[in-house]
Amino acid sequence: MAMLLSASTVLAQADLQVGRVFDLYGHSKGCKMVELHHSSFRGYELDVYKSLIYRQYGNAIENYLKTDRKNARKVREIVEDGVITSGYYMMKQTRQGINRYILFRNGSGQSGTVVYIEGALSPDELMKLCTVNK
Amino acid sequence: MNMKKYLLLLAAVIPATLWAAEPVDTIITKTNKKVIVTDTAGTTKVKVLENDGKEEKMTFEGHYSDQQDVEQYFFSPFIPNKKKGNRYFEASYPSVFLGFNNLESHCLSSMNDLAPNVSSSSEWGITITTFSFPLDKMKDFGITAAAQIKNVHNYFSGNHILTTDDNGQTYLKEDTRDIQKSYLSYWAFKVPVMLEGQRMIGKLFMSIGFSLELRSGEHSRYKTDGHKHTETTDVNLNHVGLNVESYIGYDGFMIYCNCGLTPLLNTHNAPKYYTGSIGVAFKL
Repeated sequence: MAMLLSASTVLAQADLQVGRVFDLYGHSKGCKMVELHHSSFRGYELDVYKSLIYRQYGNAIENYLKTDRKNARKVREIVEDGVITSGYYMMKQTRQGINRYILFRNGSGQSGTVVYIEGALSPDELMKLCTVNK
Repeated sequence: MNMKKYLLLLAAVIPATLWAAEPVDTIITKTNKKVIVTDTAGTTKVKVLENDGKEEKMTFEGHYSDQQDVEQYFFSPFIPNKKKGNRYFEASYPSVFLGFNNLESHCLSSMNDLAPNVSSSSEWGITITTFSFPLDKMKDFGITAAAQIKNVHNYFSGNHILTTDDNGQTYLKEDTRDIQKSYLSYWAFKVPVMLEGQRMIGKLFMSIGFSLELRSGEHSRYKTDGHKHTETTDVNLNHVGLNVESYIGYDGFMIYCNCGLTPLLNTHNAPKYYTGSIGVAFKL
């Protein structure tokens, strides 16, 4: 049963381009990927947490994120000097009550961070999760 | 700013008929904010422009449709107060300072045997360089240091002239001539090390600490019959001195005071006198 549940959560991002980002660059040189399932993060229960920190491939990853942006229900972005520097996309639900978020932050050069979160947390709770202790 | 509340307020203010009308721009001005709403082909666009007094800048843009809502912030509501934490702690030493410099029998006293003309005794100086080291995360407190140069003129009243006899004893003699002015002057290289607090109320800052003085170029001079004379260049000056000092200021203006903890002259061969000064200063 647990295996079936894990398979369903992993497949939950299969319709998203961000899934390809993790597959393609998760084990690349200069990249660091963290993947957690059914974990608690800063007091919030998350079904899936995947993050990728990269020093290069920024342009390629941006193209994948642009595709997901078109299909997002909510788009929240920070624009500095005309350039989108960070934000999150709230994607369509695939399971009732479970929200899916793609968070990103573009660093200097080709570096950056992309995070995929799946869980029952609301957009407001996501913001609290992102801003706590900063 | 709570953008969600702002947009809810906006929705309440705009009549429903307006949304159903032909594509039209609606502009709402509120204090320094301007909200522009455009409704085109089922997509509502909202732009928020803020005027900071100099120019109008877009701070928010949103697009709303059945399929998607997009909000773009042209500042970061997600990262609270980041700049405040990273702000710079800069020492508040003055570029130029000017004040009264009195000779006193001991620190914080106005009594003295030299009978100096207080209103005419003066000092001025400049700050060459400053150093600062913040002590707290918010960078409101810190240790500061500076390198300063100052020039001091201590004038004496009546016909008194500071002199040194053949035995090396310095004292204040009363001359029989009509002395127009008589003064002790010297230069000092000063290194204050202070504890400074900033931004307690607006741009208010205050500081207290110690300063080390290296004195040189001393002269006892007087003027009589329109001619200036040098009485002596040896007044048994202590070339190293320690002061306690403090300043309080707002923005680029400050008031300072300091008093000597060590005597100005060598007490074995000269009277025991301390310096005390108060003045105004400006940071350019």
